[in-house]
Amino acid sequence: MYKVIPPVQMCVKAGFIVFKPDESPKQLIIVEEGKLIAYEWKNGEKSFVFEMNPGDLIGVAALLEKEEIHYHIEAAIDSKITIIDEECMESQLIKAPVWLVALMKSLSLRTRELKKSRKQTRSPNLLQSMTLFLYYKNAKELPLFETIQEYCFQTRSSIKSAYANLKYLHSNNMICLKGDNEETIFIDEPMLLSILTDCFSSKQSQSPYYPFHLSPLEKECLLFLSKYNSSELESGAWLNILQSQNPLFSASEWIRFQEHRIFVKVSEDKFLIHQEKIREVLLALENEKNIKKIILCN
Amino acid sequence: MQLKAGDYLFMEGSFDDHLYIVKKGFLTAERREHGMTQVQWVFEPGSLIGEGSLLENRPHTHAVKASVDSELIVLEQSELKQSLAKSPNWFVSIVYFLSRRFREAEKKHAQHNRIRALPSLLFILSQGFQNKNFDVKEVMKNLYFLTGLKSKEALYLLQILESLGLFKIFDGQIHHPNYHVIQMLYGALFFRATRKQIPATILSITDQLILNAFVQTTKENGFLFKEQTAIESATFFKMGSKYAHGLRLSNKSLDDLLNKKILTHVTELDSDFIYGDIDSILDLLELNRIYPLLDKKLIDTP
Repeated sequence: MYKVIPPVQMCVKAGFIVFKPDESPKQLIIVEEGKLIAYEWKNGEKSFVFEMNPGDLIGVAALLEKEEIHYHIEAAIDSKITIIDEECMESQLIKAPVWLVALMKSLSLRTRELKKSRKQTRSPNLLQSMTLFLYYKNAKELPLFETIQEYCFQTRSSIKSAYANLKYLHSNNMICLKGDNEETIFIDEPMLLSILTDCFSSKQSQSPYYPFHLSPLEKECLLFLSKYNSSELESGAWLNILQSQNPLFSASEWIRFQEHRIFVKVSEDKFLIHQEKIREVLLALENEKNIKKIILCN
Repeated sequence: MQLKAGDYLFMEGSFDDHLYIVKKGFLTAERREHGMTQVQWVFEPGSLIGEGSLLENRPHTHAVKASVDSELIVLEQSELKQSLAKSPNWFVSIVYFLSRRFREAEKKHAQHNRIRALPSLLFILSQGFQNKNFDVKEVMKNLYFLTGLKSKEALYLLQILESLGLFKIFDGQIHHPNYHVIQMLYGALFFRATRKQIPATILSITDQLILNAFVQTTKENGFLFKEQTAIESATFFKMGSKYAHGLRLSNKSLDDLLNKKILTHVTELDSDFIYGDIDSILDLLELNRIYPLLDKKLIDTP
């Protein structure tokens, strides 16, 4: 039968130093009555950090995670405190059920992980976030260093990883790094970056990326529409025009075109070709091989 | 307790006062974001699941699913209560302190992520897509891909910016965004973070009072100069004080604004007047109204 070593209970006067870093042993301090203050010395001056009131405690990390308490703890007024040292804690932990000890360690570990993760980037996919960032920059030409700096400011990604992703986009013909020291980013086709981010989204949501699932008939009709100048027409008129291009074009293709905004409804039953959307689809098809390779590898 | 691969232990938002210990297998804590499932934690044998719910009766923040056939030990809340009842008070305090500290860390983590993602949200809203309303879901999705900010947090951010008057949200759309102010705000945050200095667009109270006086006095006494708004210096100095809370206006008090090229002073032959672009000045005043409120709002939001 293990015996629990009881904690030390103390009544301290105002001004009493309860804990000194580097001098006091590892311990956990609980305020029962009164008030303690934590302070540190900065450039020879006493600097207040926080105060502790009844029920507050300090030093859990010191006992459970072997971390140091960095502050001096002093009684602000006459106080009553409980001090738990390593031996006392160990004796209680041995007595407690294993799952309760595991629960405490798990809470402690996860708190530490959360604190640590604050410094890390949270972007789910850094190549995708870089692609999206460049798309939003909406420029044909960008200075490399400033662009990386701005991207890292936003995403907290490292300069090294940002540069690696730019190089990757360059080697896959999405952007172009030019200059003696590759100091400028050229973006010939910003829409390609938007297409790439859409493909990433489709992959992540496991939904098909529409342009890569077009039938030969739909592709043929899109090419035809890309060169077609027209005003607003009724759906029946559009169906006739597309059927005159290819008689196999049916109402189901017409509905799919509407769903994917190849046509936009401008009034009651009038539709207009969405040329920008068609350009996007055709651009995606032109770059299909490259895009699929990037998506597959990332 | 046995779970088959793919079975859910519990869903996000559900209440449950059990603690689970993984005996065999692997489970994942997941969250759905913009149609995709994000794995937040992986629980391996020996891991505990549901600490927060057990100790503080909080709803689960994630769904937990078995990745492979798994076996779990289930502990009732009553067992925790029994064990704690047998423990000394100081030990109970430590257990609840750890739980509270974890909850605080989660809260701070969410707050930190929001603060960190704010520049990206301003960046998305300000870049090159003028005269267009934004779809809230689209903005939240892109913010997630750029910074990893979850939709709930992104919505908080949008609501903060809306409360500051930067735009209106209705019918799932962001309407009438004030692009110039959004752009300036982004620029100010970027400058502050990278140069560790106060940006030139952030003005002293005195400069803000002078600009406000300029706007007010030019309403009645202004004239057009180079497509901008001008006012005779003498008139401005005389009339402006009443709009500048009694501040005495003089050539000297304009120095900072002249250096920053926000206002221009023309003294030629018999002319002596001050001019500036009223729209830019109004945006600048709006930026300076919002800027000090932003940090407070970001910290205050739960």
